[in-house]
Amino acid sequence: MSLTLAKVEEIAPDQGSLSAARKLLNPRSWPVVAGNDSGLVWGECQGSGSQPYRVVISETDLGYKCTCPSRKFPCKHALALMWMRAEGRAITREAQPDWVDDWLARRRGPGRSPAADKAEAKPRVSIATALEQESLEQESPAPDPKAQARAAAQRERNRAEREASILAGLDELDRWILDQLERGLAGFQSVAREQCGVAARRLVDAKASGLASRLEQLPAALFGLPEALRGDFLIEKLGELHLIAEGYRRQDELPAALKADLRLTIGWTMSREELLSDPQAMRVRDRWMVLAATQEIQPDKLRRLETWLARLGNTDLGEGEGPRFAVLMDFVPVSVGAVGKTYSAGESFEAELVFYPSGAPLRAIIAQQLGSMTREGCWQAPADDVAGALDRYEARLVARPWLADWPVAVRGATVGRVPDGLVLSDSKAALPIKSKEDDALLPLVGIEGIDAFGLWDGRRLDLKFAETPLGRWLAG
Amino acid sequence: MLDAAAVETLTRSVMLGTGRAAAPLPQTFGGLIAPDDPKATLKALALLAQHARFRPSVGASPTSVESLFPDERAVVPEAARALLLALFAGKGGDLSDPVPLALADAMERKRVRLHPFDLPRLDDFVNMHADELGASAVAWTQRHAAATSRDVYSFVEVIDETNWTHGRPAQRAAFIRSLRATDATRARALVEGVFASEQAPVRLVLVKALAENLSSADQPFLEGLAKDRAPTVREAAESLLARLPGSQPAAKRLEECLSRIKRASTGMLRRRTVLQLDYPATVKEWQREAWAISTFGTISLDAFAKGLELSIDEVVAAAVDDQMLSTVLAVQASQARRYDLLAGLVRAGAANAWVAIVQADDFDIPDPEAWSSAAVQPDLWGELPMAAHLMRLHAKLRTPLPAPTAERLLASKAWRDVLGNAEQNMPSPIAFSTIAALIPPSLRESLRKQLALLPTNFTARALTAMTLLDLIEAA
Repeated sequence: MSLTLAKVEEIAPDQGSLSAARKLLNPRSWPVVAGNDSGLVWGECQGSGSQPYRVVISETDLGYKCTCPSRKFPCKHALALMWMRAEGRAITREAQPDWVDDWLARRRGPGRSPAADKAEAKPRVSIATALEQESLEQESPAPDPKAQARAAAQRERNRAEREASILAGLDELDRWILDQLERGLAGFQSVAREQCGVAARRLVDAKASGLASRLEQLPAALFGLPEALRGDFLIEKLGELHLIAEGYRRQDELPAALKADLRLTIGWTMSREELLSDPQAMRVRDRWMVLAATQEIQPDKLRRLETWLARLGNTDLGEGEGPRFAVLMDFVPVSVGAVGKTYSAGESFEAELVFYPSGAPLRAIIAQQLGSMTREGCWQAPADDVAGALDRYEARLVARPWLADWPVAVRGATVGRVPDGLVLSDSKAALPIKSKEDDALLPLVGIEGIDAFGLWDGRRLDLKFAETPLGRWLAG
Repeated sequence: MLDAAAVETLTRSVMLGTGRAAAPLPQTFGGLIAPDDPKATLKALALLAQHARFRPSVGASPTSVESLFPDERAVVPEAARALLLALFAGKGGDLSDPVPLALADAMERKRVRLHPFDLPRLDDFVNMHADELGASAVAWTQRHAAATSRDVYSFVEVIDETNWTHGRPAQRAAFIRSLRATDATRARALVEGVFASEQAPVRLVLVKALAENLSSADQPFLEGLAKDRAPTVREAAESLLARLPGSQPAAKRLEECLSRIKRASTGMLRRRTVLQLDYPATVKEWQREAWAISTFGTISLDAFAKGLELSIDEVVAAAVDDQMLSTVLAVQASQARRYDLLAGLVRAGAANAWVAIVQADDFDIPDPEAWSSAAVQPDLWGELPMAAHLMRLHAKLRTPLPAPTAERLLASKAWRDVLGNAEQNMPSPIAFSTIAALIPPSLRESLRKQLALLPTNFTARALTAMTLLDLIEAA
């Protein structure tokens, strides 16, 4: 997809960055602007230092890199280069310089260009490279098998220690839940923040960070609910914590995918490389459409970026035909500042996704993106009515009892009013909709034949995307 | 499967505290949980939680599926939506220049509305110009108002004598003003018919609307308002009476004005009369223009000349050395719709009289095209007027300048200087967006060509505004 100004606006982290980028549009600021036919554009922007900043962007997947020290991503230089590209400014066609090659070689993920892979497969032949390799070999001698064995043993000891620590932490969690039950959940609300904070810190100490994160987020979710729903919510969440703890203790009795899911839920991690090299991991190659891109700051000071995808190739998939939706998750430290959106609702791309193991696969990574992003026309939801969508949700809940937000899509629904809010309904059933502070949902009321997508938490639907006879509606 | 009674018992137990209200777990779960299991309570909690998650969680059927923002108008073209959001939404949104008003007026003229999905993001724009943006915009601004406190006036798409009492105050005032132009008596009769039952703010706008085609026939009604409950209404009526020759306030105002004119004779061979304003001692220098306009502006030109015992031409000639007095006469000529005289006064030295006229709240411009042709003469400007004055001009006219006037503006030295020195002087982008709002459609291409020579950070908003206006006008 060629860059557009609208896309540049979307990717900009804030208005200040855009305004700063606008001031860099003057060609005099760019001694070098060049590009090639594979969508790479690079340039050198004269900043306040003696050396110009080197900026490179990839039109294919909106990757970028700049040598400036800005903590905004993308920085004003990358935005300015994108802007110039979107405006169709003339660039010279030439071979990419070494520093662009270097960036390509370091890139990971979907944007990794074929050029980079090619370069990796067939190293450049030169005397300088040969000399460099020789010196590297001298500096780093061949690995010592004994040292490797020692390191492996140490890793195993660390793993065993962590297992023991987690199990002890889970026992403490059980005691904590029992204490709350003994005192009664009716009074828990008044001490929820303090109590959950203490218990979460203990779980962090026990190296069960995933569970700790669930507990830390509990008070905010609790107080976001209407008063009448809070009691049931607490029962569900505390019951779920015990379920996860008990499941972990008996993980060897569980199917492999559910066991792996449980370990991830507790806090074990699975690196991208591990997932890609896992032969059991589910791989789905299809065309995917972005339905929502959200950001949320977690209590652990990480910004969680979620990109919700719908599978386009075959929307009416039955059980066992693979997931219909996927979510890509990225985590960025809050300290790096605002982050622009790489994906926007309505865009689509062909890719092979690899799903993290789970009883209800949802989280995925892009193993390979094929071709560039395009703007998708009208999205048609799978042929589910409200009750059908709920049935699917319950089937996933059976497969993964600690299921959190789950993507729900309904075809031909209507948004209507009830005394305490809005519902997504058809002739047979209705789902309560989570209200938005900016009243963005109100214009949907009364429009018939909506294809809707949202995240269902078991109580309320967080509506994210809707195709309507009036056009596309997107959550703000 | 837990039955309802068991769920109730368990829920009650965990909510009140198992220490106080222990649940009979073995009976509830039919022996599934052993009585001596140390985790019996936790297991019961987990089962209760899972039971709740599988409970049908559907909501109540909707009580209403009627649109909250009904509107008969067509939606703006799709291409216009992104541009509207770029101009007015988010942190980069700006409503401080004439672009919002120009677009709102264009949308009203073409009877188009905003896309309903854009209402939340254009909230500030909608709140500012709901009356122009149509029924859906008005409904959006009132979405939080309780049914009882909601404005009793609704938006009327096509207003006439049968429905004008239901329209919003601004619509009603506009209707009365337009009717006054063709049938002043009928318009006054309509106002008189509903006046007593209206709230003060509405009475005020209706009285002000009678300024159009004001005549002595309106005197009895206006005099009757001297006892109105609202001081604002009384003041507005008195102000209108002061414009009626022959009325007591008008006579009083004329007498006061004449006392503030210094008259002298000059010339050796041919003596000629010279008139000068005599400012009260309490009026500071910076207050003089406002004082002169408010004091003399509502006086009839004919009555003023008659009071001075001179012809209008003689008054104009005698005031030529006092620029403020010339400006005052230009205001009076504007009020009397003597556009030939107004043009002459502007050419003779009152080039900026339009600034005084557009800044005064009391003066309407009923015939924008004729008035603009006479009052706005850009070839006389030494430099481009302040953006605030041009914005005020646009707000008063509510329409672009006539093509010949706009053409002279684009060719004027004042404008060319701004274009030529933009990179050195760094003018505010508002200057360019204001000119974009004032230029008629036929000259937008010329303006685009001129702006294309400047850096986009000055002109982006003006260029986007013109594209949007083109799109809306073509809808």
